[in-house]
Amino acid sequence: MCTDVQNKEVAIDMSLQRRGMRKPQGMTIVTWVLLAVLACLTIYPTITLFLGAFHDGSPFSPNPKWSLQSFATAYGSSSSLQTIGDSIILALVTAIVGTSVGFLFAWVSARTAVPLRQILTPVMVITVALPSLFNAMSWSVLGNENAGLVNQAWRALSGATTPLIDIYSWPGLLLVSLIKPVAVGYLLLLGPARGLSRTLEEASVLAGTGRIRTMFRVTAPALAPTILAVGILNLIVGLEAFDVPALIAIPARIPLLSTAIYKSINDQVVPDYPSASAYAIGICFVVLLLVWVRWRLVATRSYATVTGKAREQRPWHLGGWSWIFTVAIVLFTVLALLLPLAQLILGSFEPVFGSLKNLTGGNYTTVLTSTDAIGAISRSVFIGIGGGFLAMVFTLGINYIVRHAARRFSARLLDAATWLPAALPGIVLGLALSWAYLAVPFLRPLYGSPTMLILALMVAGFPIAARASEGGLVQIHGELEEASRTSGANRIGTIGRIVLPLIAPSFMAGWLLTALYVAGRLDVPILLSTQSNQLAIVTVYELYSNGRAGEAAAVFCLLLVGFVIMTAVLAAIALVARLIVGRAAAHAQELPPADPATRDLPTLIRSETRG
Amino acid sequence: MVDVQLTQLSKHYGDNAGVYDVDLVVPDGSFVTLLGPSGCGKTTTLRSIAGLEEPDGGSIRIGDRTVVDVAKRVFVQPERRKVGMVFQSYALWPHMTVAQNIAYPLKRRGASRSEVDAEVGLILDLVNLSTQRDRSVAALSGGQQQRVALARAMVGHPVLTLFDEPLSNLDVKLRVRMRNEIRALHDRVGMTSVYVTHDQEEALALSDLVVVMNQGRIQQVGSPQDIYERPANAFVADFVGYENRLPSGKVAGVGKGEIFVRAAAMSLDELPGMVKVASGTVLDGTYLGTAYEYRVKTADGILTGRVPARGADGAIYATGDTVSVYVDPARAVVLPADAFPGAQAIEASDPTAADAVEIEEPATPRVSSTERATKPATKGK
Repeated sequence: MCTDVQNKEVAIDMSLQRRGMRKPQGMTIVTWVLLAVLACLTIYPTITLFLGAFHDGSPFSPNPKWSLQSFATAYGSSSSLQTIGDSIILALVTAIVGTSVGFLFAWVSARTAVPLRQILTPVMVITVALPSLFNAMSWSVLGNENAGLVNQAWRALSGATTPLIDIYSWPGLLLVSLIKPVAVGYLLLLGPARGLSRTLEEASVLAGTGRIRTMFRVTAPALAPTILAVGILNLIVGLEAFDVPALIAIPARIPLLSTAIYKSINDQVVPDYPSASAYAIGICFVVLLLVWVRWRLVATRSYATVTGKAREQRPWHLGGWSWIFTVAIVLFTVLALLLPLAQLILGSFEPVFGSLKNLTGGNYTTVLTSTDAIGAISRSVFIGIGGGFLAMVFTLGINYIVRHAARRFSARLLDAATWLPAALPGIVLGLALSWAYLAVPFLRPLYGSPTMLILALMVAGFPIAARASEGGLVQIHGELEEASRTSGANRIGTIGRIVLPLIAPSFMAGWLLTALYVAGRLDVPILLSTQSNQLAIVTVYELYSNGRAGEAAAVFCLLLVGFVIMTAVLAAIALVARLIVGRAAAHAQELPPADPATRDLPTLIRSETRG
Repeated sequence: MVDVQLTQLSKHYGDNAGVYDVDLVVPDGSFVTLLGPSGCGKTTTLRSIAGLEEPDGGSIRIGDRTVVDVAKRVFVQPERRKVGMVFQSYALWPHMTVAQNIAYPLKRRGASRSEVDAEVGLILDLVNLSTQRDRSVAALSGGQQQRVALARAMVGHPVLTLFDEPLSNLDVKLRVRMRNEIRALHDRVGMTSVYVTHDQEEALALSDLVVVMNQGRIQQVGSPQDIYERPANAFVADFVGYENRLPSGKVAGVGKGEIFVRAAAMSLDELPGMVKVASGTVLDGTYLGTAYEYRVKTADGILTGRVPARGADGAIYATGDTVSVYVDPARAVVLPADAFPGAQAIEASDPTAADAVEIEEPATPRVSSTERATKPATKGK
């Protein structure tokens, strides 16, 4: 045949190889470039944070004096011990109770015929998608000793003079802090609960154990490693939580680490950066430890009992227990979603906080005329969409490399780097980034700019975006790519023609999830955004802390409208993409279902919302 | 059509599952099968030829083009090797139609629109899928998907077609039909094919040349008849179904060395030309339709022999009966005792070794094993 051409090709191949352009090296170069970018975005701020804790003074000071004074201030007193203790109690209780309740709901939804179980997934998805500030703010109004709706209703119904609940207390703090962990636990455990083979439970029932006891004796232990991994995740989230503590723990005078960091910077005449850093390092250390434990746990993969086949399983009827669970479902929906939403909407029309008389649109007029609410909301939507997109693209690239160069050290490092932001509480991440940008002269102008906010929120979105894109890639059988290579397409062509069209639906779902998550975070931008570039969530927080609760509620309601617009925009993009890549998106859903144990959140949501 | 030559090909993994010093020539236009148990290195070898694995030793030449030479740092990317490959999962792209799947390799290699249309039409006729042209591949049956995968691998006349256990996802009946279709296509198109399977029947039926592999090394290369009738060592003998193993000298008239005999060449009745090799007691019997197969405990271990079935009358021997065992010397294979590269492997997987323990409990006659069609070994007259 055409031997000349072939010889030429060999010659080209060989000359390329002599210049070190062989396939694995090409991949390695991309890997190291990505690592370097990640290092600038996550590792460098972390290092400046650590250095900052040993500084004496602000990051601006040209001649820093090194000292351990900050650690002495932060950890040296009995009150700081109480801070640490309270943080640990809050995190432990919310993680244990939240994960257990989440698992119970997941079990009810996946394996029983309890009435109303169908509403669980939509309720949980919305609960996760709403900013934590939503629950914090609504509940601090709802549960207000005197004016809260709950207490007003209680007094009217029972004739009692004492309030039913005071939200500014330990029970109040725990109640509100539990909402998110329950929803997160539910969504992460639903897949595994579905995948578990029914035969395990049937064997137990045949052996004479009741269905509820079987759940405790067989189902839960069989899923123990997964439940524990989710529990540790909730523990990390609990330690890092800022939004709920800021609104409830501070008025309740319960000292917590995350609020201590914020206070050292915001409530001092001169911001006490070193102390804030010292607190931050404490949290980082514990969280890194937990991330490591969770890693080990997940790496051992004790999912032997979870089969890959998600067969249709007949749901169990639980008899009298059904009603107890139905009541629990209704109670959760009311407490986590309906009551707070009602309060928020009502509150936005109340001229006087807590009074249901003379509802007006006055708050809306005020925020629309006298504040930059619309600007803040559009910035939030823009930054959510932009930061979410960048986070998805970035983590998709990382996961592609991790998948194709699994045995290389640099790839592992890359994977680990996407977890790093998860180890940094949002408030710490914000602090670390302020250090990083303020310390470098030519980066200083970026401080507070939309560019910096997008970069910061992109980094904050990494952990969730990485899991979403990972789940999408896992579903593409490796042979689909290999078939393209042996058909004459190179790696880039294969990515463009095979991988991207097939991953498009997962990508869109992950993008939406990350965008909502990122735009709803208060902890990251609170230290980063300036008056001129404020994000809506920060506006809400500041209005609320200045006692303008009605206006805060109005901005929040407008922000929720912004979230709906954001969802619509992404849905429109998905539609256009589907038209462009043709049948891709439609048919990707016909891919063989992935192992339910590893099924990712976006896929779960897609499949749930479809049927 | 080209020949393919592997020289000292090696690919090491941490867990011994690699390939070690494989030397192999695939003649121009031939159908060569790599046969062996899972983890024997056959798939790694095939993927190295395709360019999907990068070997860490040796070289591969396809035609007159060196695609891998580790010593000279040559590695040609898979997309530039002009090979077609059929994957175990078919690997059809679900976002494309049948025609789009098949056109893909042509387009990537720069064919014009009219060429693509013509070629796709031709190959669709060849695999009998012309009517399915614009359907989604997800809507096809397993056999049809298999044909699309075949068509995609063969379109544009690759110099070499590779098959990675393509039939393992099909049911038995369809598997036999597709097997015949694959071989017919190979002959009609006139291509060089390398095929990986763990199914010896498939290998024997398809191939010009069978390469038996174990633990990353080639055990034997030969025609299907060679492999079946003249296994080169104990591993191959065991793998292609020589159930019985007798010590040297047990069968008169054959050479020196360990003796391997199929159950079909061993009888409990004295048939013409057979010689007696042992006596013992019947452990259990299995009805195979045309014959009964009995396992007999003898001084040389457990031997398996057959007796032709006599109508619907039931089994001939019962558990515990004393019987003699006869062998057809012409069908016995003798292997020199020290020439067993795979000797340890057979020790571990030797069924007689495991059974030797079991007969310590004579109270439970082993009459049933669910995989086999079994029947109690009762004496029927």
